[in-house]
Amino acid sequence: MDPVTFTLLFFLPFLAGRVTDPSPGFFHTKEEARAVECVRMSQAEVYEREPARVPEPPPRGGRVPADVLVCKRRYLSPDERPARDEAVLSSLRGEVSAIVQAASTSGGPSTVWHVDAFYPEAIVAQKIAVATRTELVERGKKVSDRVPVLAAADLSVLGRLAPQEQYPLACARAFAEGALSPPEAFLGVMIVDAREAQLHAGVCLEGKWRWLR
Amino acid sequence: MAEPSRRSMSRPPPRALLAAAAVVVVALLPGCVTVYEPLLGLQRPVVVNLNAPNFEGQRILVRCLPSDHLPAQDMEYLCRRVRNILQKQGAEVEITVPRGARSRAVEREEGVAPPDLMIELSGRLLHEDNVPILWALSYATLTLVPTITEFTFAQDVSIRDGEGSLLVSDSLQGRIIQYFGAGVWATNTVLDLAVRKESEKINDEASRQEFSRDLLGQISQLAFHARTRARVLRGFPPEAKADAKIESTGPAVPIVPAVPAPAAPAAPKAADGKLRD
Repeated sequence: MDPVTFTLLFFLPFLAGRVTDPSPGFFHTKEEARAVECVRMSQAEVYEREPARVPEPPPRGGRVPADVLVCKRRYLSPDERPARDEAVLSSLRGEVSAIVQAASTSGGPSTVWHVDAFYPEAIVAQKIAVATRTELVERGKKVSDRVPVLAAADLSVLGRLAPQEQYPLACARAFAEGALSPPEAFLGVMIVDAREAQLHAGVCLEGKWRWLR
Repeated sequence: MAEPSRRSMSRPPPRALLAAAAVVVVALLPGCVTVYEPLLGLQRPVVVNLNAPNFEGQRILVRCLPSDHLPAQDMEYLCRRVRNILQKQGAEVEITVPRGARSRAVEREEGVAPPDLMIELSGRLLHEDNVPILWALSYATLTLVPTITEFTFAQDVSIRDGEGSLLVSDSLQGRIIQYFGAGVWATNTVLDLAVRKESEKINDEASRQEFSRDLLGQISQLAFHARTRARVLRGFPPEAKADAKIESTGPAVPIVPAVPAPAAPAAPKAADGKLRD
């Protein structure tokens, strides 16, 4: 066989096999590869979730169980949003779920939850607050759209304090001024340092602030 | 006598050709193509500046646990890299590579204060793809038929405070794919030279650098998260160290629950002076 034909005969099927692989190389750039998140799962697990995506796994004992790389594309490419916004928003669901789970131990069935988020970007803050409210509702909690407001004098004092003093004092003032009343609780979600991409949270209940995480 | 000699000059025997081809192939073989692909967590954006003093005054213990797939020497190398990157950010770092199951527990001398953070790193091989028959075929065809080996790994990171409470844990996953074969190597080299821009080039060195950058960046970010979380959970204890400073989140952060979202205006006050929904 002529060497060119021989090479094509083996090389082209090899290349064709790489088309569906998300790794960077002959068909995907590094940028494209970084825009997907993948996990390795067993074929049986993927078949159970999405039977159309993989063939039915062989019966037990037939062959060594196969693994499948399951990938999902990010909504936005990695550099489209600032790094911190991207990091916070891409893990928002998990973070909010953990926060609400921790908050659920506070208050009772009649507690009405007020939520606000404190984040440098107002749009991201709103997304965090909405996600937290949604998670609370999904867990059967009573949630209010209202955000408690403090007097301007309080704000001018609180504005000069560090986070460790701000939140407890704001909580005490909100109860003292009647912005929050006993069956109500306030769940604050925030970052406390500009260099972090994780969310902290605290609960204000009966005038007392408690950090959850 | 002259005729056979002329024939041998114009048409070299096939054995010589094969030998020449084999030499070329053997010369090309070491030039295999290594590709690194971040799968989970490794490509997450890093916010901390790796050259800033993020851990000033912090004492950090880094433990790198060897396993069947990651021998002690490799873990020691990883530990040293992590020490360098954290030291650059102002931390006082101690590293340890426990050898043997019995020495996995953290041992501290009496009277020595525990570290502020304990970072534990361990690796797992999640998947390996290496088909021996493809290797045989590749060698039989002088590597014209390419071979692929593939490893999917998880780098587990857990960070505890000095008392052993878990602050942060994460599993970062990635994949290393190695292509062997003259054809693949040549194609990749042509693409690198003629088509790909500098940041898109694929070779061993670039893959190593990208993996290091991703892994060390994520470890730094996780360590910073652990540090902040420890402070928050302890109610921001006063610290005499320089690290007590918190970098401001900027004036855009509403400092107290005071700024209502535009879509949810503050409720009017009722006659009793209390706010209602």
